[in-house]
Amino acid sequence: MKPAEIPADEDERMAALHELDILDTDPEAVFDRLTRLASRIIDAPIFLISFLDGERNWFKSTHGIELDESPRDISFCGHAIHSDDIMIVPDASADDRFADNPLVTGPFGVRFYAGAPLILGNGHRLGTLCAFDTKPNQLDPEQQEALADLAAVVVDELGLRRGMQVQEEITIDLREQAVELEHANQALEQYVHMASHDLRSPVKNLVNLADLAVIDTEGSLRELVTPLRDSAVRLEELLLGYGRLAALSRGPARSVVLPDLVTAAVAESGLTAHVKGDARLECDAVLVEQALVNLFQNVVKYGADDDVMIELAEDETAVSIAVRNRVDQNLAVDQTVFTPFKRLVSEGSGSGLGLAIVDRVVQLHGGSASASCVGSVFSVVLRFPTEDVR
Amino acid sequence: MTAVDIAGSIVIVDDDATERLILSRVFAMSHLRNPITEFASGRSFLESLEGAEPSAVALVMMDINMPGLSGFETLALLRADSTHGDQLVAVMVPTLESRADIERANEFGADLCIAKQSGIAKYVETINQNFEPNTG
Repeated sequence: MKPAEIPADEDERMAALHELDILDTDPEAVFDRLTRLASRIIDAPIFLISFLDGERNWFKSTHGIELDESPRDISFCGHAIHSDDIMIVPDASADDRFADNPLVTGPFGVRFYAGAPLILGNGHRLGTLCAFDTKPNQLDPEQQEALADLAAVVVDELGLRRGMQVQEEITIDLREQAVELEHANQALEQYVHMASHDLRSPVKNLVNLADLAVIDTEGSLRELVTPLRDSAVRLEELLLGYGRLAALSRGPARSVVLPDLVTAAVAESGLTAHVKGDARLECDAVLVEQALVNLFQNVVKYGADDDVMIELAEDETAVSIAVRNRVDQNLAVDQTVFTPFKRLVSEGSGSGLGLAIVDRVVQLHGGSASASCVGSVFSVVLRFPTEDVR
Repeated sequence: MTAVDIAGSIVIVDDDATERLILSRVFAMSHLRNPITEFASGRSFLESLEGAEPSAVALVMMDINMPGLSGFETLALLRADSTHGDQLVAVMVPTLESRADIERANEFGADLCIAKQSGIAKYVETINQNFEPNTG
């Protein structure tokens, strides 16, 4: 007997086989249908879909026999996976490779074998779709072609099955991630609620007590008590500020004429501005006006004069509002200006929230804000994507 | 501006000792010169009224969130009292932004709502703006 040899690509072949997650799985109707279909084409009692795995030949589907696996070294399939062609053994008892094989000499009494290799796209042959009979037989070319076609369908099914598994795993992963995110978000919301509500009273007390202490304290202790009070005041500012940012939420959108909204915000922020361009914007008008007032106040604060240039534009993807002002010195401006409590100029007035509110409001509309300072011109551009893109 | 009789005491009802301390100092620095009495619960305040003269209290400053009787419950029981039911009561709210607090305060018959303030100067100013000594 010539035992089935191990193919040259055995390691990669096994890796590809294990990747499919097919071994030791339950029978599946789609594979059983294919062995049954093979039995309609070829007149033989036994059909298998086999995979050669290490020392064993494992069967995904069996027709005409109840068997999970058998040893690889005595297997016919172990020989069949050495070629892309169908292997046909018309009479095993007259074949040097199989004449003394226990499957031939033993109770199975195999005589006929025909196996079409299961060939992956990358060329690895995982196993076979094969037929057995206890009497000698032969396949005509049409039957051989049909068996090869069915083997190809088995491979296609393996691919589809794996694709669905991967998709299912991704779906499960995504669902788990969504649940985790939901939990994280709830925890965050609780934290924000805690910070903006429960902490307010004790912090207010702290501010007032420190204030009373400053009033009542004289001499060297006052040097300590005054910064204590200032720290308490700053703490409260931060607390209320982050609470305000977190509480910003977008209300119902309506279509507004942007020059009108901008002109109203200009008036409210008390600056002189040139407004150019025209656009309509679908937005929460109250929120956007609030953002614009904050933006204009900040641009004026950093600027050399109160004369601000505002340009409105609309292209296929977005409505943009560009605000420019001349500055005395070239400021180092990057995206961090939108960070809460970031101050560009050291002794700034205001809440330190202005541009953070601008950024948040634009974000709530699915857009983005950018800032730059080039050649002593400070500019902020807000882009609101239009409905089509969102 | 609400007039507060110069006779009678200003009563602070708040379970938080720190808040009572702050508020009593604020009143001491305001233009109201009434003596100040503190209670840590609505119940102890209501008990103190038993047998007291109707003019014993000039103004009640009431916290809302208290264990036991809340500020609103205390206010409701006070308004049902035949002797002291028409007592001048100001409800202390965390901020004046909460419309719900103010609406409930009105429902329960508070005379006014005062927001707790940050910063003593601002607090004193708020008290002075809301109350004037009734010398008449």
